[in-house]
Amino acid sequence: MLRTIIRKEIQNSVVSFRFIVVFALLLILVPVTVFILTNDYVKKVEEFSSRRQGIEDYLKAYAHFNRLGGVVQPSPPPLPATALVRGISSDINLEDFEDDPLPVMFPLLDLVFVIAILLSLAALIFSYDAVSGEKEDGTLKLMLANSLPRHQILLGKIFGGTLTLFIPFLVSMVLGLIVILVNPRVDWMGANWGALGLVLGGAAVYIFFFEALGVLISSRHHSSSASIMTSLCLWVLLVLVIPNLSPYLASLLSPAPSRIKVNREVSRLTDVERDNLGRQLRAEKMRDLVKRYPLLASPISEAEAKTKAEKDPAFREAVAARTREIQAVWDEANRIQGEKAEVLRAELDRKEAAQTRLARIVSMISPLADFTYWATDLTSTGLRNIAHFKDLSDRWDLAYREYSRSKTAALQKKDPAVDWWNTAVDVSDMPRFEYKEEALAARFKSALGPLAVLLVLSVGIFGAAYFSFIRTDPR
Amino acid sequence: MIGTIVKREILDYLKSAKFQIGLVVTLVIAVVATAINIQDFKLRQQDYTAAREEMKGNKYEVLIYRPPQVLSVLVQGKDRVLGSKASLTTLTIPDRLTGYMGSRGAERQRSLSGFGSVDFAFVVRVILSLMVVFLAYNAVSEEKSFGTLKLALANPVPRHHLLLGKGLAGLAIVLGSLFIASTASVLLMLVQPFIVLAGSDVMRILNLVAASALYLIAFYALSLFVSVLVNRPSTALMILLQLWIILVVIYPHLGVDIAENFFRLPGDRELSAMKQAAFQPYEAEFNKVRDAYRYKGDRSPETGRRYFELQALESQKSHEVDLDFGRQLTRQMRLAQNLCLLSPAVLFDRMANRYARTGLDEYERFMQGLARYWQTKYLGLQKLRYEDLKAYQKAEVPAFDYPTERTAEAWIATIPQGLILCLMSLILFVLAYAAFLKKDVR
Repeated sequence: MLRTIIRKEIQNSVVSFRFIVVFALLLILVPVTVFILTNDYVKKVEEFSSRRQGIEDYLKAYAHFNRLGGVVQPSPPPLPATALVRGISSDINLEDFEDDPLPVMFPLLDLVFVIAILLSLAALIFSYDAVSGEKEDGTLKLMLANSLPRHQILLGKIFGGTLTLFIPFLVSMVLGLIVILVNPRVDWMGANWGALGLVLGGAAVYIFFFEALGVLISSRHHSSSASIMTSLCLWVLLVLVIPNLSPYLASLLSPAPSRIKVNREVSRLTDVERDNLGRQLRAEKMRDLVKRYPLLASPISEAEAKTKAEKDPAFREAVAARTREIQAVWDEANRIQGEKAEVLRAELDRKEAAQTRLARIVSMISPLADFTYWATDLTSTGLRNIAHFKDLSDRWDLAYREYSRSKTAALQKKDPAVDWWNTAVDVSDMPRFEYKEEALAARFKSALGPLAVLLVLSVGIFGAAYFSFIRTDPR
Repeated sequence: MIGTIVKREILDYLKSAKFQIGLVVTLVIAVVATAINIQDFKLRQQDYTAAREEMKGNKYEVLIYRPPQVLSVLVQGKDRVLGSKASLTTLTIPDRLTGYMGSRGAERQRSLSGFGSVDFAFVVRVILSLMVVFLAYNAVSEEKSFGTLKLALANPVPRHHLLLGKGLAGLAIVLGSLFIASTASVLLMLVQPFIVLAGSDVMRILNLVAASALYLIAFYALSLFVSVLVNRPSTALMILLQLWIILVVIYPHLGVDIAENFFRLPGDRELSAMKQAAFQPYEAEFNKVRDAYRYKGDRSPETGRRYFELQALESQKSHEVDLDFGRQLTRQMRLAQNLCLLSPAVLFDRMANRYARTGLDEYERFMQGLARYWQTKYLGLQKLRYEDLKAYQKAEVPAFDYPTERTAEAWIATIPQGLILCLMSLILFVLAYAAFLKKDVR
């Protein structure tokens, strides 16, 4: 029976005007977007390899330690998945705002946009009159007059609606994939297929959520026009307003001190205040030293001190003790103030992390944010990949330091007086930074959180739709 | 007669659920977004004040910060995204801003949605335009499907009176909602003690509201036209919603994509190669003077000055390359904007950003001011170092400011967009009128 209802729903929608428009839109939009993104990707690959070649050439010509540090910075290669999902990896280097200012100024289209914005809206447009429309036409009464359980009708409507939207989307995706696969420069591999499949699975849940939401709203309204009005208001709220406001909301709810103020305070602590503390400690130390070495009591000029030290071993010892202990005093002052500054910095980091976390949690009320996190984390284009990249580059940094230590040690062994900073070295054995994408299983595991929230939201909305439909008055 | 029709229509609208829901949603989002943006502006203002303290002190590396714009409370535009910190040295005229204020906000926002920020401009562009669609889609089509259109026209009412009456009533409702939303937002701004609006700001807000009105009128005309053309209200609504998605959501994005793809800009490596080539003729002399000054201990005033002049020249040359790049970027963006000329949303955005001083124009104005400051005041200060060290030590870092745009200039600059919107509305009204005159009302 359920199958009959689903078939009826699909057949009903397929001939409708809205279906044709959405299908046509998808058929044009998805391949065009993928085409543009693929071109972008290929261009980035070329740039990346030429930059890499440039660095290698440079290393052959001028491999001095004074240049190396600046030249061999790790940079992430473009990933094939960016032919579908722009994500935020491309902006890791945002501080410098270097490569390409245009995307910063204009948000651009990609697969996540098509699913998250367009398909959600289309799902509501497909389902806003699922119940209210039948009520208006009077067919709901007729349908329920048959011996048909209400929950089957509901399930049929929601699943039918999801399929009506998902299948045309899949068709358009096939066209998009053809665009990718015929391009020999895109290295589309097994893990990419896996990630894509999972993203599409998430998309199905996402569409299901909005179909269920549409049916829920529809069964609470008597007229379709009121139903679509409510649907669109909720859409604006869930898809556009909540995700965008969540960072601001988080910064109000969990304030973090301004970075610039903390930096100023840190520099005050480690500069002016350190000097004051150092002078005070030194004065105390001097009083103490004078008690122990009365020789130091009378101030004399440096030249005199030098001659006196040469003659008088006791004085020499006293001066050495003074130098040693005053140095210890300054080290102590540096340590104390450094600790204070470290506390401030750690506090700032902690508060900023808490704020980001809160923003993420608040935004997860919105299914759009959940889906976006799911899709970008799976395709290595999200926040998780930024952390992964940082991890890899930290590890490389350690290896590089180890390498430069052993290299300079070898140089000094050969010639103790060598100016290793400015000597040309052979760096063919230097560890090169190699970016390795995180394994799909690990990405999947980390993205499960947002997916779980999306599933819970979908089940919740479905339950609400169920109860609302059971109690609806079909007349 | 028209008066009666307008009155009846307005009363109908006021009673309708869609108007009431729409107004409440508009008001709530406008107020919440403005309140949050006000707090955000306050934080950024504080950051800016703290950051300015850094401007004092270092005489060689001068730090300049871009102030947050007060009207970004209503139209965030690109104000947050575009970076806010520039560091000037003899070796660099900055071509882009970096910054703590811009970058983090941008990171957060981009990770989430394709849309920009939620602010008054968003309320107009998305929510009020949707409301317009809902108010107008059944203006004619519903009367037709209910059969009341026949009845109304059976009376001695000229057809154009009926359409005009409906149009005026709808416009009054739309503009009334806009007025309420903007008044609420602006009032919320005015009660904040730290927000001081100058006379020109008030003028700019009025212009912004006027631009919003033009945008909404264009959407209203479009909706009325479709409503006249289509007989079934539900079909009219579907067509309008699809058109809305295309005009407001897809088309503006696609325009940028296409412009970016067909107008390639030089990459970073090409740029630095171009900069090197531009300085090539002076390279040998520069190396000689630098070695003499830095390594051979030649501290004569002539060598010092020449060294300084050559540094400045190198910056100048690479600045010219940057300027050229900027011009290409502008051309690319122009292309993107021109490709989107038929989307009322893009036209409205350009006008709103211009009035709120949160668009690219303001950013470019700031950057030009920065380059001028570098050439006149900053270089003057650095020159002292090689000519009169004592005076240099005594000198203060000269104050930075850049010429602000007059409201009239902004107004003139947005005339084309305004005209296109007016023209669009006019054409659509005329089409609706013509279609209604010829409409079969049975």
